[in-house]
Amino acid sequence: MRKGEAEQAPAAVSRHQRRSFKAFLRILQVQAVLILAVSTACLLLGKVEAYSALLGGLLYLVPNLYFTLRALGNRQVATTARGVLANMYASEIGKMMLAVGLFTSTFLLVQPLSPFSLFGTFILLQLSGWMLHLRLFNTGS
Amino acid sequence: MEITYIAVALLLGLSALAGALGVSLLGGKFLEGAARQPELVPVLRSQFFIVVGLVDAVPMIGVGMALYILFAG
Repeated sequence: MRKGEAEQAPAAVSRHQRRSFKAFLRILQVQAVLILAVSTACLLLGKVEAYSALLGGLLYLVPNLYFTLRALGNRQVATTARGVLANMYASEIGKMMLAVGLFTSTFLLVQPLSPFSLFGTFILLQLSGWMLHLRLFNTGS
Repeated sequence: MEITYIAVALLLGLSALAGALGVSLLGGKFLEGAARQPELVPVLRSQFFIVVGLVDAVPMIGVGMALYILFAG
């Protein structure tokens, strides 16, 4: 690779990374609004259902926010395929550990809890994440 | 009580296996694509990020349910 190309490649990676990082953050913002809407709707059923729905949403949102910030928000851009893959795997492991820790602490510390509201919101957010990500994927952003 | 532990172990183990298989296959394909066209690494990175999110969704639900059965069930 010539010197000029070597200087251009990280700039292009950084530009693309910044654009996709913003798009993924926007998806998380939409999902945060969805959590509030579902939680407010669950308030009609009861207080326990409402905060269980809110917790289910946070259990989805916090690990995913960590994953997005760790994988794409890093300013030191890994330009090699190996570096990108190592960064993604490390972020994925961190996300899993965070999710397990949050689930465990929620079930141990919060009583009473409505499992239908919690898992319903969690699964709804996973489905909305699929739809929003696939939409982003198909538009080629 | 013992059957609960077996159920939790199966849920956690199968979730981990499914997630690991999916992400490792994805990583292998990412490396193949990056080796063929190194200039596409930024685009492949975003697509890898999206598909990892799709792959680990169902194992995460499994892990959540297993932990619920273990701690609150």
